[in-house]
Amino acid sequence: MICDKVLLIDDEEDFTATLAERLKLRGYDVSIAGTSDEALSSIREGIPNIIFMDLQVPGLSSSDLLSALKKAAPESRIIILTGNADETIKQKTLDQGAYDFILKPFKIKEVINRIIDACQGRHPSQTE
Amino acid sequence: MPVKADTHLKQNKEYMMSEQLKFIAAILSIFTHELNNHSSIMNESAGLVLDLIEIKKDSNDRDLEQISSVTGGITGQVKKTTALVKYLNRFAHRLDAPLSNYNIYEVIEELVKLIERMLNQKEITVEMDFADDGIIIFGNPSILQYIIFSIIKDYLKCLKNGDDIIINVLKGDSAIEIKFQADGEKKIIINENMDCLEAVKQIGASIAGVNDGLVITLPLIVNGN
Repeated sequence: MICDKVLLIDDEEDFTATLAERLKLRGYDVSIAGTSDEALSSIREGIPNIIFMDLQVPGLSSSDLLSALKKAAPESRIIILTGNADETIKQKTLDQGAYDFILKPFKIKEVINRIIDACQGRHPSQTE
Repeated sequence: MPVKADTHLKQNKEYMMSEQLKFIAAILSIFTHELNNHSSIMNESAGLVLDLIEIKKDSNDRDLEQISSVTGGITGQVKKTTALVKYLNRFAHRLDAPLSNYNIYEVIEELVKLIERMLNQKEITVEMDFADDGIIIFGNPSILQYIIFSIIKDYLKCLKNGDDIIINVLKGDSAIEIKFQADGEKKIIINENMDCLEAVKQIGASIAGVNDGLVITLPLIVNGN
């Protein structure tokens, strides 16, 4: 199965545009959403394999957005991509069904490895 | 059994210190999150430049244009990050002395910049309607920032996405009024559960609901030297 569709949800346009370009150079098909509404509308147009989600995007709370994404795209793997290093929040999002958690700033290699792991169904705890 | 006056004062002081620390922690947490985001953008932009150099070795003009544009983006982010760090630095230095001369406009603007991420999440804009260059007063700017932060937090609970909060500062002969207004009929009802009441008392100010908003009245003390 091809696992190359990625949705980036983050309100930092410079960040999403640059990361999207880097992922495209590596062969991924990337969509961008800057708000929770845009994210849900993007999913209605096509289900991504991987969703990278920031914790504070305009619109729904992170918890509500996570639930809405899981409902709208249950087969997508959701990876939290955030600058918030709070361990409690990390655990909370993982408990709510996020597949993985990456702290900004990161190395592109780390993101690619996490995409490959998620696509192959390897849970982060099995790779650490 | 009645509580002795000094015990009451001590309890109030301890309460205020604990509230103020919680407030500082909240601000630093929001702000460092934002710094991580900016570092991340610079990191990705620099990474993209390296990707382009590595992947597109047969360079032509279009590649050079793209590289130039990305490098411009990195410079822009460094500028933004430097400006934010300046606000954080000023904010931290407000705690150097309990009382000082300060520009009330700067104190409000600094706080609003620092909590921008929290406001953006609900797409709330805080408009600062300041008439002139500034009003210098003597007092505790950090506690005033805490009061304003608490009031904005209360507004966020009742505003809907996309609403505005307007802050005006009016200078009278013996007092400064900081007025908060929000879109439409949305108002905060002053009540005993508001977080900022103790802080308002501590700086000798008062808080009152008015027809179209809420007003904090600060005694006008100038030149504390």
